[in-house]
Amino acid sequence: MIIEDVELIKAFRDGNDIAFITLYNRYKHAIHKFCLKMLADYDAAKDAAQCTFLKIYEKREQLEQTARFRQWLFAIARNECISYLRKNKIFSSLPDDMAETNTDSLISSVERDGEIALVNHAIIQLDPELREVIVLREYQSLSYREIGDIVGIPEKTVKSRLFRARQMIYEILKPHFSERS
Amino acid sequence: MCCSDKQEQITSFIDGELSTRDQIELFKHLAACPDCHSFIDVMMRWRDIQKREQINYPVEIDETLLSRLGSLRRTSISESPRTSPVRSTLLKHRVSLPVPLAIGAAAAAIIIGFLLNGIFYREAGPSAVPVNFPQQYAQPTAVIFYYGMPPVEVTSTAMIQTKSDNKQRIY
Repeated sequence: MIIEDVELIKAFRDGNDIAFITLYNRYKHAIHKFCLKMLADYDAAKDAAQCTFLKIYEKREQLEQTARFRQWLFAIARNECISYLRKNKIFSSLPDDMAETNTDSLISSVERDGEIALVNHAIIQLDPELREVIVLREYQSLSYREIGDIVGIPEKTVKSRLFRARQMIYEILKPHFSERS
Repeated sequence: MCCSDKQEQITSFIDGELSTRDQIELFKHLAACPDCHSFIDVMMRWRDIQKREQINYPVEIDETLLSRLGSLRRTSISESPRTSPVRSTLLKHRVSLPVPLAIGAAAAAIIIGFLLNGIFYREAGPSAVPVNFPQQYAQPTAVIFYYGMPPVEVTSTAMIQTKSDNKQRIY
């Protein structure tokens, strides 16, 4: 029997730890993946995902709308990632040398597949404000509205940021894909 | 980069947000524009590649989180009388049971209910026959054995004892 998220969230808000563990198991992969794509650092992503769930647990009484649990969860994960990027002074657009360093660490720690490495290289070169929308859209399949709720921007801005992110990714990937094809 | 508006349409198409009419126009344009064709080609290829990526979840998070949750819970229990007395009082009355145990408890309650019902039924037995009821009709006609209950005698007002076969029939 699969219990609906809404029921679990209500039980979790009322202090049921089993409900929390069930929700954690449902969302842990998505949150970890989001953090990994945002930070491009395996250890930092692990810490951010862990802190996200701890904050969820601590702030459960602040969750007013059970239907928007997913947005709330990703918003906290996003804040964790942004805090990390700010703390490490990599919030603004990455300079070339720093982007190279991060890409190398991502490739060495996450995977060795050439094409996947290339795609990750493209994502990490994006400014975080573009990276977050493209990661939420492409890796989490969230709607414009959900992304807007998480990031705190209107749907139109989500759409324009997605366009800019895809244009940048195109510029990065085009030469590589042209070579291979 | 040319055809900026068309490429914006391409991103809407990728997200499934482009209307059918605009899709037809876009496809016409793609057939004639190699830049936009290249753009959608790269986007679709990128999408295929990122779907192939397998990310292993670090099990250390499970272990660390559970241990930290344990300490958080202990802290909140020790702090609760000061922070939220009403809530802590309510929580004291909350009982959580595993599902098999809860089912067992419910079954036991039902069986005990049947047993108690049987005991009280037997005690109330004599008063079940109406006081002024003609005693020749108030003959015991059947004995019911029900699992977990003492024997119950049932009487009927519509009972006729026939003279020929001297058998009792119930109507």
